[in-house]
Amino acid sequence: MNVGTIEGRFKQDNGVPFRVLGGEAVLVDPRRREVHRFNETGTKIWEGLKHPRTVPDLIADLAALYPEDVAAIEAEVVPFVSSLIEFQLVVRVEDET
Amino acid sequence: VTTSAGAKGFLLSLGGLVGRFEFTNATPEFLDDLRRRYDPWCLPSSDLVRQNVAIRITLTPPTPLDPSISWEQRAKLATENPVSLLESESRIEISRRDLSVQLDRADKHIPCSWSGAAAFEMRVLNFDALLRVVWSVLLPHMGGGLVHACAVRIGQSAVLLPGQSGTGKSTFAAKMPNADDVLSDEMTPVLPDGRGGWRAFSSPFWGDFKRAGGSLRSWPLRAVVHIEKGEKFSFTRISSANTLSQVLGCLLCFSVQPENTRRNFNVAIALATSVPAFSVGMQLETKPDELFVSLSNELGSLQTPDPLASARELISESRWELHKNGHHAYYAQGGSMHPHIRNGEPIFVQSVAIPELQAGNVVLYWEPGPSPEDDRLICHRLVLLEKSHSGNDRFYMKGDTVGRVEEFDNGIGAEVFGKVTTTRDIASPSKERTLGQLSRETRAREVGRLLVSLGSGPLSKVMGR
Repeated sequence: MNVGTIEGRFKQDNGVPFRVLGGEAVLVDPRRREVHRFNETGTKIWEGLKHPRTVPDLIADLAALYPEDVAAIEAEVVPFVSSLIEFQLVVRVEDET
Repeated sequence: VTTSAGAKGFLLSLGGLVGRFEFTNATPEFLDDLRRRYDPWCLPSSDLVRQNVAIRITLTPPTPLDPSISWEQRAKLATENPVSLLESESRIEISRRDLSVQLDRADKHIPCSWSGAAAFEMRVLNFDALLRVVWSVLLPHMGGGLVHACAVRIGQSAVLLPGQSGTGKSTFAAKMPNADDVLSDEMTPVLPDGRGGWRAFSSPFWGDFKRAGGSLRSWPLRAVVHIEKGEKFSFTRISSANTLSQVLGCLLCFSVQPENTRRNFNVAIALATSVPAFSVGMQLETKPDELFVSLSNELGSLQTPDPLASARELISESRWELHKNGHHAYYAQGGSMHPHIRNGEPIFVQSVAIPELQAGNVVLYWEPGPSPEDDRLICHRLVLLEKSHSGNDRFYMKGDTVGRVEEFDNGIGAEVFGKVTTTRDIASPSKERTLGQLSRETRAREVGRLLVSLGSGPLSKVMGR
């Protein structure tokens, strides 16, 4: 999987309540009756999605925070964002242009 | 003598919320079954008691179970037809394949005040299902919730062990040295105590342990413990986020409405951030003491006196002691029975069958008030007893120094606990031995905790508050 497989901008679904405690986000999905808990990196990505972001945006955000190279970060971010999309925890934002 | 349930309905105090239930078409057998299961949570059915929910229940005759349908198929059917819940500011509608409830807000000025109607086939388990669903909806209105959890008492504290079926809740409950210390092995109501802490309540919702606490008493919640099956005993503090996700997985919530989800989420956050949580690895043979020692090392003494139990809870607990042992000891307070009973002297109450009581006996009874703090135990002399075939005998009571006669139907206006004996009633050497035995058998922590009102006014109920 690579960045090219996930196109567009995404943001948190406002219908999914969450709380960050001790650097870890816990989300409740009322539609699927599921609870999700993210580790520190996942929480950073989730918090980044408060505003519309592309996958390259998210990778750049994390690259600024962590010393790992971009390829390693991409390998983490892409499947994570795919899961967020699959579980409908984020929504695609139409291009404003 | 401790029966609270009236002929066609009763008042339950469960998880700090009071519900009145009145039945249409109930058979005496059905009411007896309800009484056996719920008696520890029953209050005298006084109209004075402030209620959070009142439900008129129409019962239909139970349809015979089809023997060709296995229990697995029944479980599958239940899963495929989950509870449907619709809630608005003023109305709650609950429906399931075999149950329907409609509630309307009764008093907007009270945080949780509802009344309405329900209908289901006349089975105790249907009533149990109604209680579970309605309480899971109402408790979050008070900031609490109904948690799929075992809860046990250690000393003066409660420990909550949440977990789905099969995680070892009932196994742990069965290992408790004293079954009375199990508040529930299945579903536990929890509520904030208003001082930054939480309380865990006993409940009639049990699993394989087949019983739960014997009174409506709650205890300060000191820890949340997640049981894990391990090779050896392990004890690790876990993060608030971990606790939150675990509690959310066990907090009963039938609603998919965003507002309700957020309300329940906030309940779980409040619980996870204010009560320390631990992950505990256990084997089948691990004794609860190992856990309790680890908890004490981490949290300090679990025997810290509990100052917040209401008079209602303490009286209910005292009723359970009477039920178990047949007798209980108290220190009297007040002067309405002077000189027969003097202020501050010990009295002993023995549980007796109502027909054994006669005019002239001194009797202890529970008179509920509007709030749990207003309940009181009263010790007055029986003036007249009108026996009733319907089960609610009428009592006329009077303090020796008081002119006024009080009257009530047993189980409705008040509930008779038993016959009172004083130290001066016991004169012979043989009787003194009986007194000594009673004193020894009565646990020291119980003596002196409840005061008996000997006055006609609402005197204080609990020492050291």
